[in-house]
Amino acid sequence: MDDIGAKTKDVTLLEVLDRLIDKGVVLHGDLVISIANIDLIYVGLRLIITSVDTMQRCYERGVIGHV
Amino acid sequence: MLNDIPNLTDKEAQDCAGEIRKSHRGLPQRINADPQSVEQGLAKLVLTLIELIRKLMEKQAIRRVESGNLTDEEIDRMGETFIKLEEKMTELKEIFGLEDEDLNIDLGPLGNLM
Amino acid sequence: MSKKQYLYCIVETPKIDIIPCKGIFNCKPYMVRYHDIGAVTSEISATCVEINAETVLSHEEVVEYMMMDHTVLPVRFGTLLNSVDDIKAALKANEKAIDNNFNKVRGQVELGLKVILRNIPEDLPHTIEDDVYEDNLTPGRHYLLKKLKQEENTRKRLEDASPTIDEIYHTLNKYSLQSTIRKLSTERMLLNSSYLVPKENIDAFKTTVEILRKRYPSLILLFSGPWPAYNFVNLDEGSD
Repeated sequence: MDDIGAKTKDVTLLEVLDRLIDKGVVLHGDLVISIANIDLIYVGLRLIITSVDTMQRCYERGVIGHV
Repeated sequence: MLNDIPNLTDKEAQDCAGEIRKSHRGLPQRINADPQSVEQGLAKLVLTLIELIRKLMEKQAIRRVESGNLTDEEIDRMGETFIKLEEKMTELKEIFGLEDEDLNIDLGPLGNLM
Repeated sequence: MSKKQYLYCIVETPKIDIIPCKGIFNCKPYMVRYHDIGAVTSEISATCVEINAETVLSHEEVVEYMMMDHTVLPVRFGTLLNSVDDIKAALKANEKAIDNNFNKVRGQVELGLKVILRNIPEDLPHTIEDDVYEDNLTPGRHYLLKKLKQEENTRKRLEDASPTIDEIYHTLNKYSLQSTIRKLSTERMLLNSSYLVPKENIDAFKTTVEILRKRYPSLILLFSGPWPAYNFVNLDEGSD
């Protein structure tokens, strides 16, 4: 019956998820990032990707030579 | 909730939800701490990395095809390698019960490149 | 059974000690103080937090409640610390960065705008047919050429959409101090953007979204907010 409301609610939840899951302050140090070992992995991956991206940009700008 | 989502029509809401889901890379969907899922988490990490490297290599290959300085034979061989890699990945994903979305990490600024 | 502290957000100059929200797993959120900084936390028995509608909304509810009366730094979902002492230690270690982030987001909120094509475009990269090329290609060559074609298609779509995306983005960006932008997140999501907007600009921002909606009937402009400044807090940057 209130189907429109339900769908909009779905969007709201997804909008919340879109922000809350991989954004916001990350505390280092003694912190245990939960999400059963996976978020840690995720954070680590971001670092790798950032490096790859930087490399790619250098490559595009001709700062480093052709691979 | 403070946040204000405007009145969307049924279809609009459905479309928006679908696209946000699709745009959501790398978010663990269901996570438990039992040993089996930890194993799956590890498989996910490894496969994600392989998939990332595979995609980067594929991009590089496409760049080289585009630049026109590969021989026909080289293109054939490279293409076949990628087909095999893709098949292998499909197999591995099945074994560990992972979907494409599971291996789709948020590439941030790289997103547009991939 | 070991207890953990589930962290929701960091606030400036706490005005309350008990937070009247349900909290994650129905564990009452409360304030941990260090100097003039507060951390909102719940003591929970779980060692991990599953992502589901309930946990996500409980987290968000607490952060939004705190946001009404405080300058808030939202904490990444799923952050667990071992003890109250560990929270205090983390606040101490990051005191300067936390302060810098407070300065950045004080009086500001995050607003979001996603721009989605109303209709599914016909020239989607993945719809490129196998028979675009002659039959006599080897499988390998066919594979790579198809990928190349898909990529060219994506590039062209981005080029075509860019003037519209840029106009929308720049029009809204006038109201914000900082923004994040991502183009073509999916084939239909032309723009996914967030804006750090002073509270007094929220209404002007919303009015502008309405104007843009009328100007671009073929696009769905999905506005959301005000949010805690999820996209604009970063303790690594703030420590400089």
